[in-house]
Amino acid sequence: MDKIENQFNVDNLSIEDYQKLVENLRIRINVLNASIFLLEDKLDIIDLDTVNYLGKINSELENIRKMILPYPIKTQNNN
Amino acid sequence: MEASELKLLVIEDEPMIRESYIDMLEVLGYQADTAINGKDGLLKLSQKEYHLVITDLNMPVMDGQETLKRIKKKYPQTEVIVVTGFATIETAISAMKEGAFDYITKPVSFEHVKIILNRCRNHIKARNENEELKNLNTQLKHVNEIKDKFITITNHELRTPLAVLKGYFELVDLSIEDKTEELKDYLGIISSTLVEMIDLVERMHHLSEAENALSKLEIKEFNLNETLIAVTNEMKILFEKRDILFEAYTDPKGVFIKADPGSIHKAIRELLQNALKFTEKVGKFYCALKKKRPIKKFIFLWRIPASASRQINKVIFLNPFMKYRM
Repeated sequence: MDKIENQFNVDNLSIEDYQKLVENLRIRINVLNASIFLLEDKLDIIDLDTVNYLGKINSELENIRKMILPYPIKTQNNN
Repeated sequence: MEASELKLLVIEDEPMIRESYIDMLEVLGYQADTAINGKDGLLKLSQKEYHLVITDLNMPVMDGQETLKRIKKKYPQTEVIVVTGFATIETAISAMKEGAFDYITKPVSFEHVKIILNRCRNHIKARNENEELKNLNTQLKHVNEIKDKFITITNHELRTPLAVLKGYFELVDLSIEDKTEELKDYLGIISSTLVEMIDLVERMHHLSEAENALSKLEIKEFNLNETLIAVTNEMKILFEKRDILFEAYTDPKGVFIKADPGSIHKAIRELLQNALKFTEKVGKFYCALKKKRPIKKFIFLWRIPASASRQINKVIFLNPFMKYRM
């Protein structure tokens, strides 16, 4: 049984955490966007359901992107 | 702030006295501009920003008192030192009430001027530092607002689209029958990236909950049995839906602990949610509460039967927000 020390230290909830989180989420959204695009490109889709699923995936990705985009990665005091 | 950095304006109508002030200030390390009366002084102030104005009180055109009033009204950050004769000391005091930093009496003493200017310089420096701190504080508040807003978004609004995304991705994965190596690569990347994103959001959710919980902790003594019963009642329908046989056992003697009931309720619920997630469908699950010596340790047991080779798992509650990896 391994103990994870200070997993929930409130001091960790800092501006740096916020910046890392925004940056990490943006990177992963870009990776997802690119991977889905490549997947669609290489896929010979004949199944209507699959087309529908991919449409939903792209639409949800766009929703997430819109939620995250307005938030700056670098904040004023860190410039 | 060094003496040479102080932007200084001397207002004096007598040319000889004006010159003597400039010489004295130069000896003290200050560089000063000059104006011949209050009106001229205000004109200079409109062209350049000054930290400090030294002004005579008795002058033609516009006297020192009026000049002081106008300076403090238009340039409140500019400090003013008035120069006065003993005969007009009352006026000097009234000037202080109008916002002058200090006054110098005639005949002007070199040492006195040196002390007052040093004090004024320190005052300006402290005020500027205070102003910077205020600005920094405002900036930090703004940054914190952005951060808090973002954390709320990740907590409440990002989780749903991510879950939807994962669901549809699993359907796409299932619908592709002949997967080439290239397709497998893309699917692998998408799957692992989604898991990472969900994990990121989940971690921020826990941090945020920890922050909220710490500010609202209500420590009191209560029976852990009651918490287990309450959580069991909430969760049993979910186990039934997955055809999992679910049994929970309390300690007949009662397990009294001093903690925040809400946090413990949440912790047990999360443990049961994990058990629900990782127990195979049509499986069995039981959990039990046992009081162990020393009294500060409470053990929460559960058994995952099928593939987990009947291993008994334990979580020991020691203090809030400490997590154990099984």
